[in-house]
Amino acid sequence: MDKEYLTITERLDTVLEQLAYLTERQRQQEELISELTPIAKAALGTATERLDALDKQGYFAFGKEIVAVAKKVVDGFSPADVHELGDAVVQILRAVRAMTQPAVLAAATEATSVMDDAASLKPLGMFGMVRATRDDDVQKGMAIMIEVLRRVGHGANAIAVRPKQLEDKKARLAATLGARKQKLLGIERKRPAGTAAPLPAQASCAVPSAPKPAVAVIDGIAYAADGHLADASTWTRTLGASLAQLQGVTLTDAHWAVLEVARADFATTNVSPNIRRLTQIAGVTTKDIYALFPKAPGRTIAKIAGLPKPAGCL
Amino acid sequence: MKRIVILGAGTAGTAMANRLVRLLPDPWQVMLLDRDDVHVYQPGLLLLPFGMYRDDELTRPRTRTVDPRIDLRLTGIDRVDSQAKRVVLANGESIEYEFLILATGSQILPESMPGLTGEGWRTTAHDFYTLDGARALRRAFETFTGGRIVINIAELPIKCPVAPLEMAFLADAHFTQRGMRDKVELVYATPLEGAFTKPVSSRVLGDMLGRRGIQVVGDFSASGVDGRRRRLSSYDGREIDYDLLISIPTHGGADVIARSGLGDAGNWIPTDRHTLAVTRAVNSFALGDATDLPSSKAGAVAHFQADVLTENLLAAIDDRPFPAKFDGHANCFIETGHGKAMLIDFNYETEPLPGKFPLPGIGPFSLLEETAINHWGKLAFKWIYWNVLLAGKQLPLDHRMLMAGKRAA
Repeated sequence: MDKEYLTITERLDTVLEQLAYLTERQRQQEELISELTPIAKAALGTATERLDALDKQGYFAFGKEIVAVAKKVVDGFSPADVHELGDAVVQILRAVRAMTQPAVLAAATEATSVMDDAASLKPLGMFGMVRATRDDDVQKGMAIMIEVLRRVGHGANAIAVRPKQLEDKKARLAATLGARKQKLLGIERKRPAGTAAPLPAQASCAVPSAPKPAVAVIDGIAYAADGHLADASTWTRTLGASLAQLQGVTLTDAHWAVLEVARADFATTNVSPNIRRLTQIAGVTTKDIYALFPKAPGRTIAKIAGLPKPAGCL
Repeated sequence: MKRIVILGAGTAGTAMANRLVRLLPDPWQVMLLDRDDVHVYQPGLLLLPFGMYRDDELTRPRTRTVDPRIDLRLTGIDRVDSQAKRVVLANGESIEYEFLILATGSQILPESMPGLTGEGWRTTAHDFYTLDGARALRRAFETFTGGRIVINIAELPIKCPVAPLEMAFLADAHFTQRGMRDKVELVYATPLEGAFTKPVSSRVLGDMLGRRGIQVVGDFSASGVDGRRRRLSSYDGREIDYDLLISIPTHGGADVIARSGLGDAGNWIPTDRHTLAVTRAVNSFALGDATDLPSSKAGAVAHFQADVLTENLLAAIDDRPFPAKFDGHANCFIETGHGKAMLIDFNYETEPLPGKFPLPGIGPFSLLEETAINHWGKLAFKWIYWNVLLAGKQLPLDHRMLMAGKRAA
């Protein structure tokens, strides 16, 4: 008996230990969650601010456009082209570096400055040219030009060896470039007969702009795009009467009573009253309101009383 | 012991009670009052008629949604005596409070539409804002063989202002899937100018209903229903015949608010739009559908208001000025059918704008745009509702509406 009791007590102890362990685990988990929640909230807050800054600077709009550009590159060039381009990058950079050396830039600037003086230069005939060749500077310049011509010719020969590849590249370029660039480069797009030029892609992420509701100002009073007053405080009884005329409503005392109540309600709630609210605060029935303002009374009353259009949340 | 009494254990009251009980210092206690023990997941009422949810997924006993430290009483309430700062129960018992929170919600008033609850009520004329109504509508859809379905908003304000629109989208998708859309005519009759009244939504969403073959009848203020002829008429003399009417009846505040003299003509509680203090009673606050605020009557609004009210109530207890301000922030998913949904996020001042939410540029949710991710979000929301929102736990979202991620164009 005693032995059995002891065994049961021992087992109970084990179970209790396990229970305590599980309870502790659960407490820890819940604590973790409650710890993490404010962190997640803070992290989300920070992420929201940072991403919004990027959004405002147009990074996301730019990113989307870059994807479109990447697609053009992918469509227009094969992986082999890109590989070749990779090899050529060093060449291109070398050329750019050479072109931007101070001496080259100075020479280029000097050469382009001629255009500024072009007006004062006299036309040069055959003899004038011969005379000019005696000038030391011109002789030096001619030597440079000749050397440039030699090197260009050398390069042209090298290219002429692979005219086929060049044609291919031109064709692929033609498929991706705009008409103006094609014309500049002397290449033309070949389009199968009968297919219209595709419409330019609509930017899917417009750059944020702040649109104002189109506001018209008539006799010094500003109106929103929906024809309601832009600012309820600019309303006068005289204006109300002329607005009513435009709505085809001839105002009687009964009309005025409803309009005054609508304006007073808007002054406290900042919301244009709907028909039910008008019946409650003006002490008239819905039928009365329809008798006074037969067409869309809620909207008509708001328009005449100089209040914003009653609206839903969408 | 000092007591805070909360009337109503719906979305707003339950979340508020569960949150407060964890934050209140020692002598303070929370008492939560409601008349029954059935908490309904109201967003599900829209999907129930289409068989997208089972009945048992949509209800839980209030006793299971409430922290055991809260003194939950399931009893009728006679009235609030705000002068004496006490609540009188239906059995005559009196409960005194230091602070009162009114979360008494809204109710539909189908009787206020002449003829609606007469012949054909819950067979050919329905609501879907109650569990019984949604179940009856499910039966009606199951046996519907074709004809004209009219969705009509009686008047504003209504709970979940986008629900009628969702009903139209989901009905279109439902009958398309059943291969009988050509036999069903869908009409959306609204007292507003049209389905979309805000400039940006009108421009972005434009002809969303037209494209789905849903006819919009605007400026239609319904005056009555003839259940025998199945005809809906308006104050300006127009009539629409229907085979199935889905009415969104007039809404009003709770009866106890009227009995307590705390409501306006529509029985909504006049409430400070920023601090949520009740204007006609001392030491009283209101949140959720029960207020007269121009914010949406929706669960998300109740949640954001609970954030604000928690801060303000804790300040009131310490006799500090109110630190938090409610800005009218609301957001909600709009089911558009075919496994997609939209999301809108707005407040008192800012209309719904397109963009990404909550992370700018990333989302994962898209504002004013139909996506599958939005729909998944809506589905995941049921778990969040039962386990996070009702439990009064913090969501990693700000109660203020942020312009981050929104585009004005």
